[in-house]
Parts: sequence; structure tokens; C-alpha cells
Amino acid sequence: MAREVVLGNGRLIVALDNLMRIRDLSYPKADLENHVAGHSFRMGIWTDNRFSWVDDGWQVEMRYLPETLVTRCTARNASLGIELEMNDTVHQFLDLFLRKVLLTNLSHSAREVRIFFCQDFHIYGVDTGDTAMYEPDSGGIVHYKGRRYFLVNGRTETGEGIFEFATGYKESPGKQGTWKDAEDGSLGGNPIAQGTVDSAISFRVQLAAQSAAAVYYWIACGRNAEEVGKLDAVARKTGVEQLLLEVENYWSAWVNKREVDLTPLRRNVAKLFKTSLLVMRTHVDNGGAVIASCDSDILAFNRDTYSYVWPRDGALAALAFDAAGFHEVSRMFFLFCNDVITQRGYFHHKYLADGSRGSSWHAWIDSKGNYQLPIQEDETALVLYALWRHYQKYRDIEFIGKVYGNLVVRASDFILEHRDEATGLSKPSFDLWEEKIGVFTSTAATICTALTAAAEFAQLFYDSKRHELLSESAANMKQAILTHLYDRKLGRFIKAIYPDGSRDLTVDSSLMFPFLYGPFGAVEEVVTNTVSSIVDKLQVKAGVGGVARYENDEYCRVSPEITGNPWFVCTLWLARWHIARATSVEELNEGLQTLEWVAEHSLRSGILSEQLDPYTGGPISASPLVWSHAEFIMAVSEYLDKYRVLSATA
Amino acid sequence: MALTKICSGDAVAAGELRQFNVGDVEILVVNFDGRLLCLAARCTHAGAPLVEGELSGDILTCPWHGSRFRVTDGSVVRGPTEKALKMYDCQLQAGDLFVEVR
Repeated sequence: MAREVVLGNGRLIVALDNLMRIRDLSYPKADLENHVAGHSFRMGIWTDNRFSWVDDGWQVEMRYLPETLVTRCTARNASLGIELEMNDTVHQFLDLFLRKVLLTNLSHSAREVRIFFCQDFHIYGVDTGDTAMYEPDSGGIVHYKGRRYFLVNGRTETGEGIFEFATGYKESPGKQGTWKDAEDGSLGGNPIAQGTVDSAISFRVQLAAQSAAAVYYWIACGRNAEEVGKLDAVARKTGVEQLLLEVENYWSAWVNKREVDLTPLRRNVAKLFKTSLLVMRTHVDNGGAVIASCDSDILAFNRDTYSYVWPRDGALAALAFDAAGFHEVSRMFFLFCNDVITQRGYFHHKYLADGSRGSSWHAWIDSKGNYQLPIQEDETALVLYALWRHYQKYRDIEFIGKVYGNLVVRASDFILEHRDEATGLSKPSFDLWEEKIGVFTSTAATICTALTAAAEFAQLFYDSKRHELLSESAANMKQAILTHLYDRKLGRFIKAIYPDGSRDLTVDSSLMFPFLYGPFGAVEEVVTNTVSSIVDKLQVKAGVGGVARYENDEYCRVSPEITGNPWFVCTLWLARWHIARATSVEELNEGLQTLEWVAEHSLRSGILSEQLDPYTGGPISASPLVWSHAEFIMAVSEYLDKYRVLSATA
Repeated sequence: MALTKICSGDAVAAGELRQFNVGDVEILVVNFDGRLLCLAARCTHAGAPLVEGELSGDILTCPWHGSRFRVTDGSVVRGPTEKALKMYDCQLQAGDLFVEVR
């Protein structure tokens, strides 16, 4: 199930599904330490001796308040005569998840209404060794294990605390969970449970006919009882209303830097531009790690998640943040890269937010036992390229000076070393889709621009010999790409050459990399011919449209009738090509239409998934995916830049 | 008075809202019944972007907390805000909308 909204502050990240249930809560780093791990924090209502969980019988709508990281969600149950309006957020400085629920009694008679919140923590991502207990000093429930504490508490608008509570056992024979205890409208009051446990709390309000009252709920996150106690006291003293205003104002100020003039855009595109920046920011750990996605549901697919830092995804996010004027965020990422780059000068497949090496499926030997370097070299290359683009825009040489020796020199030395003298191309590495090892056009293109970027940096730091070597290497590699990876008979780039010498002729959307992140221009024949093949083979003609990843893509494939599900990033690459080649405002329209298509196919909240169901347009695979949002930001920024130039000369 | 061109006179359709920036000033242009009006683009309560609000007749509702303003004079119809929206003098000249930003 896709995550409908994501909230965060760089330490605490919380994701909700389409029924307003917390499904992921990572703390204190935005990655694998997910203390909910896809389980559900249910919410239920009891009134007139009837109980209902907020699920299928409710009409739910979820979105963000515009330009900030506070939600507005509504849920209505006509048969129960209850409407809920909720605002959820994570405080920008305090590790507090905050929820306001406005309960409306739609009936024509006064009623007592009880609202139930259930907590299904799996602290450190596992279900054993947890404790859930009533804590009388705060009047809340504490879940803890080791150095992770979560204090759950709340108030009604008239200042009453938790009405009833229960802690108990779950996920074992005969024990469905404490949430079941709520269905009679009352909670048993068990004060402590140890092991595989959960908890439930309730609040009680008296509502006159067709009137409303607010209930406030929060989760304080900390490393010990004192920390969560202090946060709980802040929530009680300051009040959720005030804290919500603080968050609304903070993120609104953050996103409205006004370095990009969005006025030429339709409102839905401009709105998604800002939402994308906010969603991306929730995935940036305050230590600079950019998590690909906080959505843990992909666990069900391969027992691992997207909650890692792929240097590629991070570099593309950095390019997007820079394009939109958020250089302070991209700098954090470059410093992260400076810390985690290997001694030899490449990046590993992926990382955890603390900089340690992430899980991988890339082996150090091939099927015959021969050594192979288990990296995706474009990940190293794109970081260098993004850093150069960052410098071109912000000219912050003092910052670059901090990372030049360790990051730029080391990475470019590796790239030089990792070349095949015979071809002038790089030696094999895994492709950006993480499937095959070989020499890929997409990878080679990024390496070429990385060499150019490193050459420019060398010139900046007055290292003439290095500048010369890197410039010459970049030129040679560009020529080598044309010699070996461009097929004159086919009139387009090929996907790859494998270690056994075989050539992969599959039409792949990443063949746009020579233009997008490589040394070739949008209107060069080698590019335009390649794009024609992509349009011909990969543009999804049926259903919702968009562009597939490559021919016969099996990953999450919905139908054999369609060559592959449409991906947002692939669709946006084509838009970026249309924008780049446009010579008039009219010619920009094709790119603009794709930007509007993306806005139309985002979730109502503005979240972009990795892929779409080609028939229904529903999200597939990780959702949100930072890469999708980053490509959207870049495409919009490029559109606006081009629009300004073309409209001025029109 | 110093007037600045903000947009063409047909840039905002009837019943629609659009935001434009004049230097650092964010201006909301409202087409109410064929009449173009220029107001401050942020709610006076908590700074919400009013361009994302709902326009019904001459009443504009803030997208964050539901404050309501009358677009013809910026006055508050319903809280939580207590402060009226600033109105900017504007006029159409040769098909373009000009605004006076003070």
C-alpha cells in the first residue's frame, strides 16, 4: 500500500497510508531503524454502542495543507454519523508526531463519542523484547526497548487526558492484539506488557447535536524516559494547536524561497513542485543522507526496503535541490558523500543513513569465479557531476575546498584507474537498474561528464596537469562511446556491451543519459535518433500513457500486453528532452504537457511513486520515490529556464 | 503613483485566482465577475497561500484554517484571522494589468 503522506524533520520520519494510519516511523535516523515497519496504528470510533475502525466503511481523503508539511485528512462515516478532520505533522525541531482530530457529530442528537488510538510498535523493526506500560506521571503510555522510547499521550480540547488505556500481547496464538479490546468501546486498563506487545488508548468527548470538538494526540520520541518525558511536557504545556502553527509556518517559509518564479506554470504543476521539495526534504536525514523511499511495504516483495542512500538517487536529489535554490540541503548530501567514499574512490552500492554500508546483491565474483567490482559506477560519477553543477550555480569555493581532495580527486582518480585501455571506456560495473554487469551507455555517459567536472575543478584549483589529463580523458571517452556504444546501422545508442563481448540492443529509456547526464546535446543526431527509438518502443500507448523503463521489463509488470509499466523518471526524461530541444514557446508545450501529466497522476497528496499501473494509474512499487520527485523538480526548472529565454526572444 | 505591470488582462479567467510576484511582494489576482482585483497573497492569520484557497462568489476561504475574506475589499468575513487582507490599487492599461506596490 502506497504511503499517502510523509512527514519528518530529518531525525523522525513518519509515513501514513491511505487510511491515515501510521505505517512507518523511523527514528533517530531516517532509514532502517523503522519502529513500525509497515504495521498499522489503527484508529477507531465508538458511539451509540457501535464501534467502527476507520477503514473500509469510511470515505477518506488525504492531502497536505498547501506549501507545508501538515496534512488535512477527512474521514466520514455516514452510518455512524461521524466526521473526522485531522491534521498530522512532525514538529520541525522537536521529535514529536502531532495529531489533531476534529470530531464532528453529524447526528441530530447529543452523543458521547470515544476515539481510540492503537499503537503497534516493533521497536528496532522487530517484534520481540518490547515493553508497553502505563506511565502515571504523564498519564500516557510508554513503549520502549533499549535506547528507544516512545511516549504516547493526548488531551481533549477541554484538557482531559486519556480516558482509558490497555497494554497487551499480539501476533501470538490466541492473541490478536490489544486493539481488539477496543471494539466494545472500553479498554481493560492492563498497565504493562512485555514481549510482543501493543497498546490502545481512548479519549471521551460529549458532543451536542451537529457540533464538533477536538482531540489531540502525540508521540514523543527519545532515547530514554527523561527525553520523552520532557517532550511530552512541551506538548502538554505548549499545546498541539500552537505546535501545528509553528510547523505550518516553518515549512511554508522553507519552501517559499522564491528563487524560482513559478508563475508561468499551471497551478497543479506549481503546487507539485513545492510538494516535491517538501517530500524530498522529509527523506533527507540531518546528517545528509538522502533516503530513496521511506515506504517499507516493498519488504513484502524481497525482504528489504528502499530505505537506503543510493548515491545516484542522492546526487539527482542534490541536483534538484540546487535547481530550486536549496543549496544548504545539497551541501549536506555532498558532505555525507565526502565521509562515506571508499579509500579507493568509489561509492558502494548503497548506504545506511549513518554512513555504514547497506545491503547488496552485487557479488565480488562472476558466475565463473572471476573478480568483479560490485559497484554501479554511475553512482560515483553522478556525485561528481552534481557537485560541479552545484558549484557552477553557487560559486561556494570555500565549501568545495572542504571536499575537493577527499571527494573530487579521489573519485576522479578511481574513474581514471577504472578504464579499459583497449576501448577507452570504463571497465564493467552494474547498471543503474541494478540488474546486469557490463559497460552501459548510461554509465559511460555519466563518467564522461564526471571527468569533465573533475577537470573543471582541477582548473579551479590551478592544477593544470590534472586539468589536462582529465579533459583529455573526457574527450577520449566521448569518442569511445561513439565508437563502441553507438550503432550506426541501428542509428542509435545500444544499451551495453557485456564482459563476454556480446552487445545488448534492448531499447532502454536510460539511453537518454548521453544527453541528460552526458556529453551530448539534445539535438545531436545520435541523440535524436535514439530518442525516436525510445518513443517508438517504450511510450505506453494504451491506458494511462507514460514511458516504460525498457523493452519487456518484468519488474512488477502488470501485463504482457504492455512492454513495461510507465515510470515517472523515464517519462520525465523524455519531457526534459522535449524541453531542451525546443526553439519556441510553442515547442515547449510537449514538455509542459508531460509535467501536467505527472501532476495528474500523482496521488491526491502529491506523492509520486516509482511506477504506475498502466491501466488504472495506481501507484506501483515504492511510493513516494525521491528520484521521481527529483526528476520532476529538474524538469520543471529546465522548463522555466527555457520558457524565460524563449519568451524574452519571442 | 508608480505602477508595475503584473500580467496581461486575460491571464486570470473569471472566477479564478493566480499569484504573481512583484519583487518581493506576493500578489493575488482575483477575477471576480470580470473585475480584476489585487490582494495580498498570504492569509493574515498564519501566512497560508491564498491562491490555493477556494473562491465562492466574492468570498475567499483560506486553505489552512478556513478564514474567509471578501475579495472586493479584503475584509474579514470569518476568523480565525482578525486582520483584513491588504488590497493593492490596480488598473488595466492597453490590455495589461498594472498594480501599485507600496
